[in-house]
Amino acid sequence: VDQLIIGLVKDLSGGRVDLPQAAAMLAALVLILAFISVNALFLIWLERKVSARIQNRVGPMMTGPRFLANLSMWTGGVFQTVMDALKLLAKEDVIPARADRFPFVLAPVLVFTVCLAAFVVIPFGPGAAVADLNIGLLYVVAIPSLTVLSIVMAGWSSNNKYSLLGGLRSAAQMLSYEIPLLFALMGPMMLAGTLSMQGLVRAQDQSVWFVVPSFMGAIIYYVCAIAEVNRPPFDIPEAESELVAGYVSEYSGMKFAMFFLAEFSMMWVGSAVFATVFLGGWLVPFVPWQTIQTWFPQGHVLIGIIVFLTKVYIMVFIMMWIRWTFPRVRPDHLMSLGWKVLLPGAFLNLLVCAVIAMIWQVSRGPAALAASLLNIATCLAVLVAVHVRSTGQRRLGEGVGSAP
Amino acid sequence: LTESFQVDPAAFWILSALTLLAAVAVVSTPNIFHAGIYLIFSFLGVAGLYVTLQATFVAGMQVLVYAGAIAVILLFGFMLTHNLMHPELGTLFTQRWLGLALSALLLAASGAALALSTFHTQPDAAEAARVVSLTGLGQALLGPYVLPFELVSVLILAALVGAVVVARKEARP
Repeated sequence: VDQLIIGLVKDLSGGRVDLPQAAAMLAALVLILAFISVNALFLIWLERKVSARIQNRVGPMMTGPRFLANLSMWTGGVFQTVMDALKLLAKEDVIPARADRFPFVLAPVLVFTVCLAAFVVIPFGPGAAVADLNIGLLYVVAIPSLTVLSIVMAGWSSNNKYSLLGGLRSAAQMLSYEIPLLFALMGPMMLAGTLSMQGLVRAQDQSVWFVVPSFMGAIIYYVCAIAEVNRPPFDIPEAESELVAGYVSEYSGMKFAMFFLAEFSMMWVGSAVFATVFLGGWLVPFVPWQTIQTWFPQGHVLIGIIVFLTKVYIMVFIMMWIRWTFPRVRPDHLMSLGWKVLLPGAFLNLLVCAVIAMIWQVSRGPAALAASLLNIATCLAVLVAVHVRSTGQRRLGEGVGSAP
Repeated sequence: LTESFQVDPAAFWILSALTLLAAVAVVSTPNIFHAGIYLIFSFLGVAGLYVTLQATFVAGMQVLVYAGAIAVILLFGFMLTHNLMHPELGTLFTQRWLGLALSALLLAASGAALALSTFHTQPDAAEAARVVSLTGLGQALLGPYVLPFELVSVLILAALVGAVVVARKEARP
């Protein structure tokens, strides 16, 4: 991004101003920070609007320009979350008397740091990432895995039964779902032959979007990503009806806001990784990037950024849609789904991807297409098998005893 | 994946200080949950040291496996242990003299090993170009080092089987 800003300033000033490297990096940092906070506020607003639409309500309407609210439900209450954030800032910062102060204070700081660090490798457009690390994909999985530490810390240090249970559940859930998540990403990694996020996008420019050859991996990754951010239907660590608010029960004010902000940012990061790895990142559908570059020699970076953000927000919207559609999963079902369905499925996907990668070394013709279809077919077969099995069990249960 | 990068020497000192201070805090704090948290910082410091040595993949794995998984399981264990924070349950090692003697022995052995080996103080061109790539790492693991690699997996399997045997309740006849 720093190179991009230097170039932009040079263009705007007609080549007169040459921004020093340090200033550009500072500007990039401020840009990313601003993006994270505005993005989180927007996502929280969007979640409330999506939930309202799904439940046949209108959601927040009052805080914002009146004429926008008169327009439609989607333009009402645009400043609602800004006001919520200001309220949280002004609230008293309470630390319970029997809490373990050091981890209690450290946990929200750690979760926010981790979420900031995760944004470093997100490829917003061609050449537009804070850093294109050569281990980008590993980095963007490894860094968010640290959020579970802060959740465990928060759960323990609050000195509250419900918080502790929330922390325990979260640790078990995130450790279990990290394994299929990693294996689901290994298929595309093998097809691209690189771990660099920009490299993954370029590899998809030269072949197809990896959602085709690694269809099952895409579905498994998406499910695991939802579980990793503790969102419904996988929100047992903070199940309101059982655990008050789980590990955040004792938090208030800005510390609570940090957990909230981090959750929504992490959901965005998960969707961004999905868009990068499976949906071709900043690539325009069905048009090779070379063509875009010749059509728009000036603005192709901007086009890339817009396309990427569109894909990410579509995936974020689907996450919200799932949240307001499905009921919460039972803890034992959660574990058996992770270990008995998703993990073997990820292994199967890895195997098929390995075969496709072997075929690609020889040709990219019909054989590769057939193998991709094989992946999609196996995925559907697994889904049907799981469905048949679960309905079979339900019938069995109905016959045995009558539920009260 | 093979591009090498420059690392400021200050980074080494900061990361070393972080690793060592956190390690000292682990053994000196009386609160075992705090010790677990300090251990994470020590792990992260080691990951940073791997980056200064150009081993970015190993650094990523250090964060993912040690800081992200092993530390979590440690804290998980603390949370499930009954009466862990009871003040009479001392966590500091009481046999100080034995501990001191053992550490002195370890220090002497590692010091002797350091004194006897020779180090390249000036990086030569051939050595600097030989940054281990991910591909190289994979080929080494499945090529010349395949036997140790497989032995490690057998070891992990044995540990898994052992854990299942310990945890399983015998069915009463």
